[in-house]
Amino acid sequence: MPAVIEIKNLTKFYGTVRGVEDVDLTVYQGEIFGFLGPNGAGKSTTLRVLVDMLRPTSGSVTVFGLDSRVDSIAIHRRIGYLPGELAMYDRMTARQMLGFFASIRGLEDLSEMHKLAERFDLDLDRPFRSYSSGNRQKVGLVQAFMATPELVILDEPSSALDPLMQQEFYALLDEVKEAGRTVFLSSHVLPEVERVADRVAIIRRGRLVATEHVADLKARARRSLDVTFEEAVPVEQFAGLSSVAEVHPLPDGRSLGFVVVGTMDELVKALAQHRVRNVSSSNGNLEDVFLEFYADDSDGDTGVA
Amino acid sequence: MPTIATVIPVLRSIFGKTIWERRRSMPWWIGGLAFLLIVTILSYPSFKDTQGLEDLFKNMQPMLAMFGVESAADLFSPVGLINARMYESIGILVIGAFAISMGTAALAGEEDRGTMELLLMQPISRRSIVLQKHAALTVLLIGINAFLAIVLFVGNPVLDGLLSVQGILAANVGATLVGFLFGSLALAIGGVTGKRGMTNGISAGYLAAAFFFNGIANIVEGLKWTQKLTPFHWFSRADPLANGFPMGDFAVLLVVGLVLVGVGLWGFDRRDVVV
Repeated sequence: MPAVIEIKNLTKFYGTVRGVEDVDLTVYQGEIFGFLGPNGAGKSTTLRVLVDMLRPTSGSVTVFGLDSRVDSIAIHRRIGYLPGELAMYDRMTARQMLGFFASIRGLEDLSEMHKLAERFDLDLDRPFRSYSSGNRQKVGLVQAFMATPELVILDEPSSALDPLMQQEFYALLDEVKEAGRTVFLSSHVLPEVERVADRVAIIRRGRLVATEHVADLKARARRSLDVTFEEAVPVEQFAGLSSVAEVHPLPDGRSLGFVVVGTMDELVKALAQHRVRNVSSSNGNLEDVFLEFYADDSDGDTGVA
Repeated sequence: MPTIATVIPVLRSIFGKTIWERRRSMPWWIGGLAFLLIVTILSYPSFKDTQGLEDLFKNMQPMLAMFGVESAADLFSPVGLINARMYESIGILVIGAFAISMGTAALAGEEDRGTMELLLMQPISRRSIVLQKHAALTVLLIGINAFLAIVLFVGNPVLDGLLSVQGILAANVGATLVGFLFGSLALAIGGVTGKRGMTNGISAGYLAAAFFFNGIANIVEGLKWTQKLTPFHWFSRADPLANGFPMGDFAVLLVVGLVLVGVGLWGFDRRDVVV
């Protein structure tokens, strides 16, 4: 698959304030690529460089093989974009606004716009300021998708949507991917990226710390496992296992809580020597992966978003 | 199939939308200025035969000079009366303020509200955004002054027909150019900085200072040089309402305005837009 986005050694400083440093990233056609990080890690900075709102301090950014700066108009013709903090014209109705954006894009056919509005159950004839935050986000999404762009860049897309609309949005992403189009989305909502993305880049303090397939990340995930025994079992029994990162007794006196990294094999075999009443596990999700990457940085970051 | 034809024509360009956004406030700007002008015109008949008042005002010559009144007799001529109310006074300040409000809204205001982000995402150059918004500002300024010119034409009989066609046109073209300059200034500062408060503050501060110095320089010889730094000087020193077009002076206003548009284009094109 051809690369749709290629970011090489991207560094962006705002004066002396760090935005991102030395970011390398390739997004291929037809994939959904998740961009994960805490607030202030540099996600929005990267996205805004992609769309030429910000100019790189150094490094190169190409979209469809075109330079993000020189060929920005040609790029914009082929992308849809949803800002992280959506601001629109308060006094205009959604229909007027979307019509306006469609016009200056040169979009002739508005049927996709109407289909999307219907799908998201959005009333187009109210002034933007009267919408709830969820409805505002829907206007933003319709705006981003209505021109059936080859690449959709979404900054925290589902944050304001209610769960039902989130599902609808995920279904839309699946269809976009199905059609061979590409999605690049940032998020700090981890289950979301886990649900929709094929690959994920994790950014922290302006630097990429990992780029991996979501499946691989899940395999490396820290999983929590609570095991209830028929009789009390001392913690020390499991202390020597290399895949057990943590083990602690639970309040009922007969259960132990485990945190396992990677394979379960070792622990399962050790457990087999005891009479086990119950095992409960929370599924490995990126939340746990995230903790691993941010273990020494749990209080977030101080950079510019 | 629903097409773009369902979108009203004014919303099909940034230029059109910028004008459309002013549809509610424009009647107030135009109405206010026209009202001022009409009241001034209607007050003329009661002024013109008051020799006593004229003698009284002769003693106040220095104060009158601050407002650009060369001699007390001017106050009671149609040209003097209208200049003192409109083109050398509150009227031109209102036009300047209108231009500044639009010039500020064009770039700095749009950035301040955060709406610039989606605008920049469209397949359209930053230059085009600047130029379309500036064109909308210019068209509305022309609209305001065209309306004022019509009021003067219609009201001329009340003024004993003492205004000339040349004078009416020149005064309003000049007022348009003064607005053009102030609007372009706000556009330029917004283009370079993107900061709404700063843009409004500097532009409005310059408007007020320019008006003040243009007036005070008439009575304080040492401040004479400051007049050259004010648009009002180049607009009114040749009294266009009385004498028609001072081409050279108006060219100064136009050229400075165009240079400022260039600064706005350059400033907005080169920098990060941080919403």
